[in-house]
Amino acid sequence: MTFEQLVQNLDAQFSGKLNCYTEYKCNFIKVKDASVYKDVLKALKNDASFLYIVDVVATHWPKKKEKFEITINLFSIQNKLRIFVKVAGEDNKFPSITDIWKGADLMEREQYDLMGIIFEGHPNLKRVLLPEFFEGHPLRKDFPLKERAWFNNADEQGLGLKFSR
Amino acid sequence: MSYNNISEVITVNMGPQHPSTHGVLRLVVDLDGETIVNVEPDVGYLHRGTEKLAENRTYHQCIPLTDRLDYLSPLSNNLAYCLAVEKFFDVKIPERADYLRVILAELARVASHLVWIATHALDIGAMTVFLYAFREREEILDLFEIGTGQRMTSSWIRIGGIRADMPEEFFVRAKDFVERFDKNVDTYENLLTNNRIWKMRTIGIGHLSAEDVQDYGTSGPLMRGSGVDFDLRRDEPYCCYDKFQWEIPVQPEGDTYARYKVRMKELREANKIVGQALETLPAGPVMTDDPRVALPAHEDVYERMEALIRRFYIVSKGFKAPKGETYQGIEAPKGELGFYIVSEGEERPYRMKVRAPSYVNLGALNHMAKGHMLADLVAIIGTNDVVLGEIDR
Amino acid sequence: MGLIERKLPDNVLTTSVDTVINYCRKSSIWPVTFGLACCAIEMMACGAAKYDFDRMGIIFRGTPRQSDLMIVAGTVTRKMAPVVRKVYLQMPEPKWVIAIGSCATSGGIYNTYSTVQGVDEIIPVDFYVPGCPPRPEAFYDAIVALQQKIMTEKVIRK
Repeated sequence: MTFEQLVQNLDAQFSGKLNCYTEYKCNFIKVKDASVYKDVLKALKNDASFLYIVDVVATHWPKKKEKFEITINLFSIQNKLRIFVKVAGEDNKFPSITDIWKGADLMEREQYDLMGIIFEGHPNLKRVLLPEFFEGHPLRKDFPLKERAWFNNADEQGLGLKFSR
Repeated sequence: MSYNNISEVITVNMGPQHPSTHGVLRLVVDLDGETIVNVEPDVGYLHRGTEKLAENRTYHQCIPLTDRLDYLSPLSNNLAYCLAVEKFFDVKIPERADYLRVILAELARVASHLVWIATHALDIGAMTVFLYAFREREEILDLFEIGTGQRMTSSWIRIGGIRADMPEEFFVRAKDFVERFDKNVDTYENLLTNNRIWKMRTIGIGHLSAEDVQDYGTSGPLMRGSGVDFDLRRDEPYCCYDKFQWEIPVQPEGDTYARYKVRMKELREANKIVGQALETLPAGPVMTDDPRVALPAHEDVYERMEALIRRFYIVSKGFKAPKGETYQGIEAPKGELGFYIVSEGEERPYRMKVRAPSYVNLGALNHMAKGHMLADLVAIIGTNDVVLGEIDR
Repeated sequence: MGLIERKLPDNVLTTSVDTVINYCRKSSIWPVTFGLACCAIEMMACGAAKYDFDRMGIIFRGTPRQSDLMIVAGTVTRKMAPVVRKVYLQMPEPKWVIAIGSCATSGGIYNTYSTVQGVDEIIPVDFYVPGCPPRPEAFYDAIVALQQKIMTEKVIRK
């Protein structure tokens, strides 16, 4: 199955709700209507053999109306086809896809930690890379790169650590 | 009253400073007696902010950051990043550069797998393999040093080709290494493949089925060790892998021993690719002459004003990538390593997401370790082949 | 050394005792394996066949309680900082620290929101080794420099 055939199949099912395009040799499926987002993913997994989940990426667009965007990277080993499913939203709440792919668990937790996306329905949504007492989400565009003031916010193990640089 | 009826779950902390966690991995293990009930990896002890840093660097300046992700095979990371950026420009890479990229990436794969077999065997209790494997790894690092000037983090693969051609000594010593290397793999296999202790510690440990691997998104040897025939070098071709004769090792069993066999075969296959690439290496330039991304040659810079200005401009200000998004995944030693780059038409990436294979593979750790003994957890971490630089980024 | 540590005057007896003690200490430095990042791979290479630290009496230990040297090899992040400090505190006296690589000495290229800008913010450091990562020869240089430093130390003298 090529990308064109896949687009035809999907258009029959979700007519007018998807925007499919190819850009720099990558195939994108933009879900315009967020309510069918999970149905599209389920259809891709169950009917189009996209069993292998590669990645979940969140992007922050502070200047746009839809401030957050999720890109799901899927690969079909059977058809040797890679697609990217995109969905955008005004606030940082998106449905979790951990019930479709188990591997999305850790990927979503990372995006929650770094980008502050709240995945609704995620079983264990907590920080993974940064410590619990960290405030904010570093990959957002308004977070300064060299923000190190939070270093002295907590002394987890009571060792009297003081950071000056 | 019998002791068998007493069941109490205790929580044990493992790491982040632990000799067999391959870095600063911390595991919170729930144990019932000695049986693992639940493992929760706690990562982030090496979170350096690479992705945020990349948003503040020009495309050329990002290359050294990629070296330090999977520091066992830095050249694979360079390759993935450069291929992703080249997709924006649709650059035509000279043939010789393509071949040299393959040679460097496959040597990096051998170096990475050698560290894996060394530490994996050391964890399980076979010290000898560590010393043998590092002997060969030193030879590869010497090769890198001759060719690129650095042992590990050389940043030698650049956008549009490679930094410069290798000296003649590199090819002589590389050919010599390739000839001998198969025998060295035999040595490791003699020590391990039929070793009774090794088999007892690995067969049936950390099982993953073919459905599980795709569901969890684990890639690389973890996928091929579970019977899924998938390799990005063949299924989503990049560089010039289609010009070489090589096989993709697949084992259906899905346990630690199967993954060991897959990686051992991969060592031989990678060596085979390097040998063929060295034999058929074409002559020619190693850097594209595309003025959008390539730095002008040094000879030009010394003689021509335009070249000097162009070089100064690219080095100090960078080049602008067109607006859009792209992704490139490669078959890195640990699995699928990908760079997802969002460009807003500026000199810097708007967003760079690293699809780190180790991080995703770690997601299956709980599934693999459940029901096994605590001592087997060490074998499972070893077979996962985690690199913390890549997990935490 | 307990009761007589740093209490006795300089004379031919005490200096000889000091020399003997220092000689023993410098000849069997046991570092704790504290690999954090890329530099840890070079540290492993140091321990393996080609560079072979064993011939200098260096045997890597898995626990801080048996060690007298801590080689901080790699980037120290804010999340890791308390662990580094705690491992250092667990080591028995006398103890020394070598910071390996740009990240451990100054933060290196990682001038970001999560990286500690040099391990000397949390523990005292005896030697800094530049490089990213440094070659095993540079590790050797640091060890030899440390041995020279150990020989000048006063143990029972004031």
